Amino acid sequence: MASAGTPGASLLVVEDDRDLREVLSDSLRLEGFDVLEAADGLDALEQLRHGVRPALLVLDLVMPRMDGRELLGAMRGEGALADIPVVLVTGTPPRDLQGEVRAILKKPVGIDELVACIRRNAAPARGDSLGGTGAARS
Amino acid sequence: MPGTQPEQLLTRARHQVTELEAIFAAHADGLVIYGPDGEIRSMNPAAREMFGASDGSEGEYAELMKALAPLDADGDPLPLDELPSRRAMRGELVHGFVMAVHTAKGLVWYSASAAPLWTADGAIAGAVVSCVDVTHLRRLKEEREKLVRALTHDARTRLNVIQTHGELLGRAAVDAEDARRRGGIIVSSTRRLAGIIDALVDGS
Repeated sequence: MASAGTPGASLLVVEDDRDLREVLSDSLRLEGFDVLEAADGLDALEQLRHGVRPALLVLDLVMPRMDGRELLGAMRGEGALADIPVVLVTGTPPRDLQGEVRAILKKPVGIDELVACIRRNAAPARGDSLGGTGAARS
Repeated sequence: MPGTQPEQLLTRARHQVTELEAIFAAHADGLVIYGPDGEIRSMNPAAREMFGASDGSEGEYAELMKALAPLDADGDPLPLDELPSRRAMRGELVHGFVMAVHTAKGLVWYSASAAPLWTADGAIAGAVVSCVDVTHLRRLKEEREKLVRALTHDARTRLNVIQTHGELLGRAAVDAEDARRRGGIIVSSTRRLAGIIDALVDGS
Protein backbone atom coordinates (compact mmCIF):
# COMPACT_ATOMS: atom_id res chain seq x y z
CA MET A 1 0.00 0.00 0.00
CA ALA A 2 1.24 3.46 -0.81
CA SER A 3 2.24 5.55 2.12
CA ALA A 4 0.18 8.47 3.31
CA GLY A 5 1.23 11.86 2.07
CA THR A 6 2.35 10.75 -1.37
CA PRO A 7 1.54 13.73 -3.59
CA GLY A 8 0.34 13.71 -7.15
CA ALA A 9 -1.58 10.43 -7.12
CA SER A 10 -4.37 10.34 -9.64
CA LEU A 11 -6.59 7.69 -8.06
CA LEU A 12 -7.23 6.46 -4.54
CA VAL A 13 -8.79 2.99 -4.42
CA VAL A 14 -10.61 2.48 -1.10
CA GLU A 15 -11.59 -1.16 -0.64
CA ASP A 16 -11.32 -3.37 2.44
CA ASP A 17 -11.03 -6.65 0.54
CA ARG A 18 -7.31 -6.95 -0.11
CA ASP A 19 -7.64 -9.25 -3.13
CA LEU A 20 -10.04 -6.89 -4.87
CA ARG A 21 -8.16 -3.75 -3.88
CA GLU A 22 -4.92 -5.13 -5.26
CA VAL A 23 -6.32 -6.46 -8.52
CA LEU A 24 -8.31 -3.30 -9.22
CA SER A 25 -5.23 -1.21 -8.51
CA ASP A 26 -3.10 -3.48 -10.74
CA SER A 27 -5.55 -3.18 -13.58
CA LEU A 28 -5.75 0.62 -13.25
CA ARG A 29 -1.94 0.92 -13.16
CA LEU A 30 -1.80 -1.13 -16.35
CA GLU A 31 -4.14 1.49 -17.84
CA GLY A 32 -1.59 4.15 -16.95
CA PHE A 33 -3.05 5.62 -13.80
CA ASP A 34 -1.10 6.45 -10.68
CA VAL A 35 -2.91 4.55 -7.95
CA LEU A 36 -2.83 4.76 -4.17
CA GLU A 37 -4.69 2.26 -2.01
CA ALA A 38 -6.58 2.52 1.26
CA ALA A 39 -7.88 -0.43 3.29
CA ASP A 40 -10.95 1.39 4.61
CA GLY A 41 -12.51 4.82 4.99
CA LEU A 42 -10.35 5.80 7.94
CA ASP A 43 -7.17 4.87 6.09
CA ALA A 44 -8.36 6.93 3.13
CA LEU A 45 -9.28 9.92 5.29
CA GLU A 46 -5.86 9.88 6.95
CA GLN A 47 -4.16 9.88 3.56
CA LEU A 48 -6.36 12.76 2.37
CA ARG A 49 -5.66 14.72 5.54
CA HIS A 50 -1.95 14.19 4.96
CA GLY A 51 -2.19 15.92 1.60
CA VAL A 52 -3.05 13.21 -0.90
CA ARG A 53 -5.23 14.82 -3.58
CA PRO A 54 -6.45 12.20 -6.03
CA ALA A 55 -8.30 13.18 -9.18
CA LEU A 56 -10.91 10.62 -8.14
CA LEU A 57 -11.75 8.17 -5.36
CA VAL A 58 -12.83 4.64 -6.25
CA LEU A 59 -14.81 3.85 -3.12
CA ASP A 60 -16.36 0.71 -1.66
CA LEU A 61 -19.35 1.21 0.62
CA VAL A 62 -19.27 -1.62 3.16
CA MET A 63 -16.03 -1.53 5.14
CA PRO A 64 -14.95 -1.87 8.77
CA ARG A 65 -13.83 1.03 11.00
CA MET A 66 -15.16 3.73 8.65
CA ASP A 67 -17.47 2.76 5.78
CA GLY A 68 -17.88 4.58 2.47
CA ARG A 69 -20.91 6.53 3.65
CA GLU A 70 -19.04 7.81 6.70
CA LEU A 71 -16.03 8.74 4.59
CA LEU A 72 -18.25 10.73 2.22
CA GLY A 73 -19.73 12.56 5.21
CA ALA A 74 -16.29 13.36 6.59
CA MET A 75 -15.07 14.60 3.19
CA ARG A 76 -18.13 16.82 2.73
CA GLY A 77 -17.37 18.35 6.12
CA GLU A 78 -13.83 19.32 5.12
CA GLY A 79 -13.69 22.02 2.48
CA ALA A 80 -10.45 20.87 0.89
CA LEU A 81 -11.80 17.36 0.35
CA ALA A 82 -15.39 18.17 -0.53
CA ASP A 83 -14.81 18.52 -4.28
CA ILE A 84 -12.86 15.32 -4.88
CA PRO A 85 -14.96 13.23 -7.30
CA VAL A 86 -16.05 9.84 -6.04
CA VAL A 87 -17.14 6.72 -7.91
CA LEU A 88 -18.78 4.07 -5.74
CA VAL A 89 -18.03 0.45 -6.56
CA THR A 90 -20.29 -1.62 -4.34
CA GLY A 91 -22.15 -4.90 -4.16
CA THR A 92 -25.26 -3.22 -2.78
CA PRO A 93 -25.85 0.08 -4.62
CA PRO A 94 -27.65 2.62 -2.42
CA ARG A 95 -30.36 4.85 -3.88
CA ASP A 96 -29.85 7.69 -1.44
CA LEU A 97 -26.25 8.47 -2.49
CA GLN A 98 -26.92 9.05 -6.18
CA GLY A 99 -26.62 12.81 -5.81
CA GLU A 100 -23.56 12.56 -3.58
CA VAL A 101 -21.19 10.77 -5.94
CA ARG A 102 -20.33 10.95 -9.64
CA ALA A 103 -21.36 7.38 -10.40
CA ILE A 104 -22.36 4.14 -8.73
CA LEU A 105 -21.05 0.91 -10.24
CA LYS A 106 -22.34 -2.47 -9.14
CA LYS A 107 -19.87 -5.26 -8.46
CA PRO A 108 -18.67 -7.15 -10.38
CA VAL A 109 -17.45 -4.30 -12.58
CA GLY A 110 -15.30 -4.93 -15.65
CA ILE A 111 -12.01 -3.13 -16.18
CA ASP A 112 -13.18 -1.28 -19.31
CA GLU A 113 -16.37 -0.09 -17.59
CA LEU A 114 -14.43 1.14 -14.57
CA VAL A 115 -11.76 2.89 -16.64
CA ALA A 116 -14.35 4.60 -18.84
CA CYS A 117 -16.24 5.79 -15.77
CA ILE A 118 -13.07 7.13 -14.17
CA ARG A 119 -12.11 9.05 -17.32
CA ARG A 120 -15.58 10.57 -17.54
CA ASN A 121 -15.66 11.70 -13.94
CA ALA A 122 -12.14 12.42 -12.69
CA ALA A 123 -11.18 15.96 -11.87
CA PRO A 124 -8.86 17.66 -14.37
CA ALA A 125 -5.37 16.58 -13.47
CA ARG A 126 -2.44 18.91 -12.75
CA GLY A 127 -0.67 17.81 -15.89
CA ASP A 128 -0.19 14.33 -14.54
CA SER A 129 -1.13 10.94 -15.90
CA LEU A 130 -4.89 11.05 -15.43
CA GLY A 131 -5.52 10.15 -19.03
CA GLY A 132 -3.31 7.12 -18.71
CA THR A 133 -1.71 5.31 -21.57
CA GLY A 134 -4.34 2.64 -22.09
CA ALA A 135 -6.22 2.00 -25.28
CA ALA A 136 -9.55 2.75 -23.62
CA ARG A 137 -8.71 6.46 -23.38
CA SER A 138 -11.63 8.63 -24.41
CA MET B 1 -96.09 -12.70 35.95
CA PRO B 2 -95.68 -8.93 35.49
CA GLY B 3 -92.06 -7.78 35.71
CA THR B 4 -90.57 -11.22 35.25
CA GLN B 5 -89.61 -10.84 31.60
CA PRO B 6 -87.73 -7.52 32.04
CA GLU B 7 -85.90 -8.97 35.03
CA GLN B 8 -84.94 -12.05 33.04
CA LEU B 9 -83.76 -9.87 30.18
CA LEU B 10 -81.72 -7.75 32.61
CA THR B 11 -80.17 -10.84 34.19
CA ARG B 12 -79.38 -12.21 30.76
CA ALA B 13 -77.86 -8.90 29.65
CA ARG B 14 -75.71 -8.75 32.82
CA HIS B 15 -74.59 -12.30 32.18
CA GLN B 16 -73.61 -11.43 28.61
CA VAL B 17 -71.75 -8.34 29.77
CA THR B 18 -69.82 -10.47 32.26
CA GLU B 19 -68.96 -12.95 29.52
CA LEU B 20 -67.81 -10.20 27.16
CA GLU B 21 -65.71 -8.60 29.90
CA ALA B 22 -64.05 -11.94 30.59
CA ILE B 23 -63.34 -12.49 26.89
CA PHE B 24 -62.04 -8.92 26.60
CA ALA B 25 -59.73 -9.38 29.59
CA ALA B 26 -58.49 -12.83 28.65
CA HIS B 27 -57.85 -12.16 24.96
CA ALA B 28 -54.17 -12.68 24.10
CA ASP B 29 -54.19 -9.96 21.44
CA GLY B 30 -54.49 -6.30 22.32
CA LEU B 31 -58.06 -4.99 22.10
CA VAL B 32 -58.84 -1.28 22.16
CA ILE B 33 -62.33 0.20 22.27
CA TYR B 34 -62.80 3.70 20.83
CA GLY B 35 -65.67 6.03 21.60
CA PRO B 36 -67.66 8.15 19.12
CA ASP B 37 -65.13 10.99 19.16
CA GLY B 38 -62.20 8.67 18.48
CA GLU B 39 -61.12 8.64 22.10
CA ILE B 40 -59.88 5.44 23.74
CA ARG B 41 -62.59 4.09 26.03
CA SER B 42 -60.82 0.99 27.24
CA MET B 43 -57.93 -1.35 26.63
CA ASN B 44 -57.63 -4.97 27.63
CA PRO B 45 -54.57 -6.10 29.64
CA ALA B 46 -52.76 -7.29 26.48
CA ALA B 47 -53.18 -3.87 24.84
CA ARG B 48 -52.11 -2.07 28.01
CA GLU B 49 -48.99 -4.25 28.11
CA MET B 50 -48.30 -3.66 24.40
CA PHE B 51 -48.64 0.12 24.57
CA GLY B 52 -47.24 0.64 28.06
CA ALA B 53 -50.48 1.90 29.62
CA SER B 54 -51.89 1.27 33.11
CA ASP B 55 -55.58 1.60 33.95
CA GLY B 56 -56.46 4.60 31.81
CA SER B 57 -57.37 6.84 34.72
CA GLU B 58 -56.80 10.62 34.84
CA GLY B 59 -56.71 11.06 31.09
CA GLU B 60 -53.88 8.57 30.61
CA TYR B 61 -55.26 7.23 27.32
CA ALA B 62 -55.57 10.72 25.85
CA GLU B 63 -51.93 11.42 26.72
CA LEU B 64 -50.93 8.02 25.35
CA MET B 65 -52.60 8.72 22.00
CA LYS B 66 -50.64 11.95 21.64
CA ALA B 67 -47.32 10.22 22.39
CA LEU B 68 -47.66 7.14 20.18
CA ALA B 69 -46.65 8.95 16.91
CA PRO B 70 -47.79 6.14 14.58
CA LEU B 71 -45.71 4.97 11.62
CA ASP B 72 -46.75 3.05 8.53
CA ALA B 73 -45.21 -0.24 7.37
CA ASP B 74 -42.32 1.65 5.71
CA GLY B 75 -41.54 3.53 8.91
CA ASP B 76 -42.95 6.83 7.63
CA PRO B 77 -45.34 8.95 9.75
CA LEU B 78 -48.90 7.70 9.44
CA PRO B 79 -51.56 10.40 8.96
CA LEU B 80 -54.13 10.18 11.75
CA ASP B 81 -56.99 9.78 9.25
CA GLU B 82 -55.39 6.53 8.09
CA LEU B 83 -55.34 4.97 11.55
CA PRO B 84 -57.36 1.72 11.62
CA SER B 85 -59.59 3.18 14.33
CA ARG B 86 -60.40 6.26 12.21
CA ARG B 87 -61.09 4.12 9.16
CA ALA B 88 -63.40 1.92 11.21
CA MET B 89 -65.18 5.03 12.47
CA ARG B 90 -65.94 5.78 8.83
CA GLY B 91 -67.59 2.37 8.51
CA GLU B 92 -64.61 0.50 7.05
CA LEU B 93 -63.46 -2.98 8.05
CA VAL B 94 -59.67 -3.14 8.36
CA HIS B 95 -57.66 -6.38 8.29
CA GLY B 96 -53.97 -6.86 9.09
CA PHE B 97 -52.78 -3.27 8.72
CA VAL B 98 -49.09 -3.28 9.75
CA MET B 99 -47.97 -0.21 11.66
CA ALA B 100 -45.83 0.89 14.57
CA VAL B 101 -46.06 3.25 17.50
CA HIS B 102 -43.51 4.74 19.85
CA THR B 103 -43.94 3.51 23.41
CA ALA B 104 -41.92 3.87 26.59
CA LYS B 105 -40.31 0.48 25.88
CA GLY B 106 -39.42 1.41 22.29
CA LEU B 107 -40.95 1.00 18.86
CA VAL B 108 -43.79 -1.55 18.85
CA TRP B 109 -44.83 -3.07 15.51
CA TYR B 110 -48.27 -4.59 15.27
CA SER B 111 -50.86 -5.84 12.85
CA ALA B 112 -54.14 -4.02 13.42
CA SER B 113 -57.63 -5.08 12.44
CA ALA B 114 -60.57 -2.81 13.12
CA ALA B 115 -64.34 -2.74 12.87
CA PRO B 116 -67.00 -0.11 13.61
CA LEU B 117 -69.27 -0.49 16.62
CA TRP B 118 -72.83 -0.04 15.35
CA THR B 119 -75.80 1.08 17.42
CA ALA B 120 -79.21 -0.58 17.02
CA ASP B 121 -80.35 2.27 14.79
CA GLY B 122 -77.38 1.95 12.43
CA ALA B 123 -75.16 4.76 13.70
CA ILE B 124 -71.47 4.30 14.43
CA ALA B 125 -70.86 4.58 18.15
CA GLY B 126 -67.16 3.80 18.10
CA ALA B 127 -64.69 1.20 16.92
CA VAL B 128 -62.85 -1.82 18.17
CA VAL B 129 -59.25 -2.44 17.14
CA SER B 130 -57.46 -5.75 17.56
CA CYS B 131 -53.65 -5.51 17.72
CA VAL B 132 -51.26 -8.44 17.22
CA ASP B 133 -47.70 -7.66 18.30
CA VAL B 134 -45.35 -8.45 15.38
CA THR B 135 -42.29 -6.62 16.73
CA HIS B 136 -40.33 -9.87 17.08
CA LEU B 137 -41.19 -10.96 13.53
CA ARG B 138 -40.30 -7.52 12.19
CA ARG B 139 -36.90 -7.61 13.90
CA LEU B 140 -36.23 -11.10 12.55
CA LYS B 141 -37.12 -9.89 9.05
CA GLU B 142 -34.83 -6.88 9.37
CA GLU B 143 -31.98 -9.05 10.67
CA ARG B 144 -32.45 -11.47 7.79
CA GLU B 145 -32.45 -8.65 5.22
CA LYS B 146 -29.28 -7.25 6.80
CA LEU B 147 -27.61 -10.67 6.59
CA VAL B 148 -28.64 -11.13 2.96
CA ARG B 149 -27.31 -7.65 2.09
CA ALA B 150 -23.96 -8.41 3.77
CA LEU B 151 -23.63 -11.80 2.08
CA THR B 152 -24.64 -10.33 -1.29
CA HIS B 153 -21.98 -7.66 -0.93
CA ASP B 154 -19.35 -10.30 -0.07
CA ALA B 155 -20.44 -12.50 -2.97
CA ARG B 156 -20.25 -9.65 -5.47
CA THR B 157 -16.82 -8.69 -4.13
CA ARG B 158 -15.56 -12.27 -4.70
CA LEU B 159 -17.07 -12.24 -8.20
CA ASN B 160 -15.27 -8.98 -8.92
CA VAL B 161 -11.96 -10.49 -7.80
CA ILE B 162 -12.50 -13.49 -10.10
CA GLN B 163 -13.62 -11.36 -13.04
CA THR B 164 -10.78 -8.84 -12.83
CA HIS B 165 -8.07 -11.48 -12.45
CA GLY B 166 -9.61 -13.34 -15.39
CA GLU B 167 -9.63 -10.17 -17.50
CA LEU B 168 -5.99 -9.42 -16.62
CA LEU B 169 -4.94 -12.97 -17.49
CA GLY B 170 -6.55 -12.49 -20.87
CA ARG B 171 -5.08 -9.12 -21.72
CA ALA B 172 -1.83 -8.50 -19.82
CA ALA B 173 1.53 -9.96 -20.62
CA VAL B 174 1.87 -12.17 -17.56
CA ASP B 175 4.70 -14.52 -16.75
CA ALA B 176 4.14 -18.04 -15.49
CA GLU B 177 4.60 -17.08 -11.84
CA ASP B 178 2.08 -14.23 -12.09
CA ALA B 179 -0.39 -16.49 -13.89
CA ARG B 180 -0.05 -19.12 -11.12
CA ARG B 181 -0.63 -16.43 -8.46
CA ARG B 182 -3.73 -15.07 -10.19
CA GLY B 183 -5.03 -18.60 -10.77
CA GLY B 184 -4.60 -19.36 -7.07
CA ILE B 185 -6.57 -16.25 -6.09
CA ILE B 186 -9.35 -17.19 -8.54
CA VAL B 187 -9.59 -20.68 -7.02
CA SER B 188 -9.61 -19.43 -3.42
CA SER B 189 -12.18 -16.75 -4.31
CA THR B 190 -14.38 -19.38 -5.93
CA ARG B 191 -14.25 -21.48 -2.76
CA ARG B 192 -15.16 -18.47 -0.63
CA LEU B 193 -18.00 -17.69 -3.00
CA ALA B 194 -19.30 -21.24 -2.58
CA GLY B 195 -19.20 -20.73 1.21
CA ILE B 196 -21.21 -17.51 0.86
CA ILE B 197 -23.82 -19.28 -1.27
CA ASP B 198 -24.09 -22.01 1.39
CA ALA B 199 -24.62 -19.35 4.06
CA LEU B 200 -27.32 -17.68 1.95
CA VAL B 201 -29.10 -21.00 1.42
CA ASP B 202 -28.84 -21.93 5.11
CA GLY B 203 -30.22 -18.53 6.12
CA SER B 204 -33.17 -18.60 3.75
